[in-house]
Amino acid sequence: MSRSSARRDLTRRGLLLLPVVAFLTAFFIVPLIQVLMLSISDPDWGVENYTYLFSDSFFLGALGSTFLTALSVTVACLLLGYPLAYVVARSEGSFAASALLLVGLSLWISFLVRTYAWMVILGNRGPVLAAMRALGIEGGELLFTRFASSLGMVHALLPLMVMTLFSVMKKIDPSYERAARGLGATPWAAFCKVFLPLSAPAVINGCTLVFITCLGFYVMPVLLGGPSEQMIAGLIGQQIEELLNFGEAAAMSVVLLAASLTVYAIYSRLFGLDRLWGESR
Amino acid sequence: MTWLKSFAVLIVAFIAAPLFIVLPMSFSNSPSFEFPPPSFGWTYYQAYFNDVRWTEPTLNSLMIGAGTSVLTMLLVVPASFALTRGRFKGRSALNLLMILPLTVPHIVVALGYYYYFGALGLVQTRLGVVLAHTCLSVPVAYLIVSAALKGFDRNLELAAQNLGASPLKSFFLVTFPVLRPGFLAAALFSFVHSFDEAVVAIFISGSATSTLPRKMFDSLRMQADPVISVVSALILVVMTLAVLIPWLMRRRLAAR
Amino acid sequence: MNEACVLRDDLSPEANASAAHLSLTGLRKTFDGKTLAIDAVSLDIREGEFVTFLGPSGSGKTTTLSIVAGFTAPTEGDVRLRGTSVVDMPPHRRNMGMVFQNYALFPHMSALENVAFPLRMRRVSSNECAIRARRILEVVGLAEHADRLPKQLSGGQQQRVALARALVFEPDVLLLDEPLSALDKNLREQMQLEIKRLHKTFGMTTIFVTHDQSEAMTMSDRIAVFNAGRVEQFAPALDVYATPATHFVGTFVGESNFFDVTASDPGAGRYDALDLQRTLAGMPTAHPRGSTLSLMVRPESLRIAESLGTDDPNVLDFEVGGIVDYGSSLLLDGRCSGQRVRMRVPRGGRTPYREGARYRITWHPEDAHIVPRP
Repeated sequence: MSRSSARRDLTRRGLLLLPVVAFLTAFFIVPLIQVLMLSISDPDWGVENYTYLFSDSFFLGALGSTFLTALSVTVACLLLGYPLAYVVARSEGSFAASALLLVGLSLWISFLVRTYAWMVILGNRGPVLAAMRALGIEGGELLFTRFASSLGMVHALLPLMVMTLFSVMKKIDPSYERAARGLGATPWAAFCKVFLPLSAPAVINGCTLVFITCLGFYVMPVLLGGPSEQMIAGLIGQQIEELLNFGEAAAMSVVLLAASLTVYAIYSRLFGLDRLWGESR
Repeated sequence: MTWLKSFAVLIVAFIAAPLFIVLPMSFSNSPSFEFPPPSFGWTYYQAYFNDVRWTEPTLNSLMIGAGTSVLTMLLVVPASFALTRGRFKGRSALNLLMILPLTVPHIVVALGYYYYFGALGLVQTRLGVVLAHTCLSVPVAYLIVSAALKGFDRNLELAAQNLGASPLKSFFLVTFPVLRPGFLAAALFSFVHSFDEAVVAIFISGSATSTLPRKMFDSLRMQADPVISVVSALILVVMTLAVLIPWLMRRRLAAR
Repeated sequence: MNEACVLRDDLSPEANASAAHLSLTGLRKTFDGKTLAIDAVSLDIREGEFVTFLGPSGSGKTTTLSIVAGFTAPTEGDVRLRGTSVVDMPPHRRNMGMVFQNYALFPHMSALENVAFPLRMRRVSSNECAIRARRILEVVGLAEHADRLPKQLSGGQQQRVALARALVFEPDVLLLDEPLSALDKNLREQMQLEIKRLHKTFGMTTIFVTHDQSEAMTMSDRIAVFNAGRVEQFAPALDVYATPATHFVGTFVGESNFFDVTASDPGAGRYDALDLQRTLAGMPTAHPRGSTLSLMVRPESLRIAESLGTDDPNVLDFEVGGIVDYGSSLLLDGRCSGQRVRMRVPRGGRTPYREGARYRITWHPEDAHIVPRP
């Protein structure tokens, strides 16, 4: 009785899973494998693409500055986002509700619309340069610089950081801080010794998500950044579109992918991967 | 802690402010990116609706978004049931596979599609974009649907069966209606995700089958076409409404 | 439980007393192939009988109920309804009504729609569905709330909707899985009466699962006491209380004092308590001489025996350790020769009891019940 029903369960489960597994294999895994193959087969078989890349100072420089930019964007998002998330998680009033609504809504805004907005703001005829000129500061190009693309990325990823932090902070029981205050701690001490450590998982989640997104960011750095300070994704795009250098592009992609996956692997080893998305959603 | 609150207000202003640029700019009559706009009017709104080089990508994006949404749900819903109910060997591996597309930078996937779909003749087709976007939507749609399933009280299904409903009937009369909000959220997300997706679309949608983000990207690169302001404004308004309205409706239902 | 308060309902129908209405035969279930959730559960339930499955968590009572309902398939054994095996029948064909612990009301349907659901499944016309659903909602006192959604109803109201839904189609068997555990004390007692009233009105075979022994005592015709996957006793409530079949039943239903004894002259009701170094008098039994047993006396069966000497068979020296005041009675918690003994005395009458006081206590031999030592 139980053996045949167990087999029935197995086939039913198989049928439910088959479509998505077949689909992802055919249309996701295979293209990725193709990229890997390309990196070692174009123009000839072998690892020349990699040896070239890792001896090319331009590429290594771009790689390094991508990491540094991702790191600085992450830190900026954390410094700006943490206080906001804290205020929203701990207050009850209308400010908290409307702030949450606004940040939640802005999560859905496409990168291109944001890019357009920053192009206007930082552009030659935009309000920032106009204000600078009014203050007597002349001759500055804000657009098409590392600064512009970083600012854009911070603006784009800040809602993600805030929402990730908020969703975990909300679950921290306020009675812990109250207990600390009742035992004689000042508000600042209660925060440092109780809330801050308890919010560590949130911080790690937020930083991981923001950092990885930043590593692979394409649209904003390409449009807002300068041509001489590319991030990796832009470099890859350039190889594909302009130079048709598929092998090199593929090798760069593999390096970028390896970097992302390494960060995930570290997170997974330390915390378990479900915590990353389970909490942030 | 008022200085903390003031700081928070500043951050919210930072997040929201640039977007308050977009709406006024769309009413600018000047072709430049000048802000504040020198004069106002409907010039570029008219230009947008009359320009097939903009309306066609808009339609493409809508169609591709709808196709992606449907295909994603068809794949994700059965799989979510299979993965959230019961333990079996390989469950964590399959879980990982469902999440995998979320971990790969889009540029890497774009390169893969460029080459692979090129071989399959799917580059520059809407179908190709739908297939690619579906892969990219599966992870989050899966997370949303499986969260809804995990929160679902299985006793409801048992009760329905006990009261005389066959397993199929109990799914349609009880399980599906209760899960519908989660399903709708996942479908909406897939649509928006596809509609906004730029990187893959840039590389594999052709000029005739271009998506709106691709057109916007090209236009921003050139900084030539002021209609971009109108497109941005429209996207902003529509997306906001698309997220705001279901949220408001849910709040009203909950308060009833 | 202070007193053996049993609402025996002489009106419980016993038609077909000879043939069982619902019979469970040799049920055995393992979930992992190693440990048995239930083992050798066999019960014959008469038509119209109100049976309670009583036991602690994990004792197998809910598993058994789940097998009867058809949600779980037994590893071995049979379930028969009026002689026909239903064990291979899927739950939606068994025509049993179930009330879940968390009510399981469909959140997207009103109370009326919930109650009408089983009728819809039986292809009753929508007109008649509405009429019959409304009628039973009146019976449970919820007629004005018919169009409300479950989340707009209180816990007690949801309970009654769940009951109505399980009864509206007049099932062969009614199954209740700890339905009252989420309610506060007053509401629980109210619902116990309500369920008994409905049982009297509709007269259907009912299985009620609970871990609350006083609930079982007040509501059941017969109680099946579950322990670690087995039924240790299946008997009317009074018998379970007065003559428990095992040590476990004695401890689980009501409070008890147990003395380790060996049977010195069981036919005459004489048992040696080695720790107490005396012979105790209890019910005569047929256990072989020398067998290791437990002599069980309920706290309320103990009484102060001033007039008897300490050499009399059933007299023990009792030193009071603590006193708990229950209002209508007092519980004296103390020791007899080092062994913990509890005794219940009515308040009033004699001089007040004091901690540290020593009394001679005794009991009637017929109040001392013998069970095998575990």
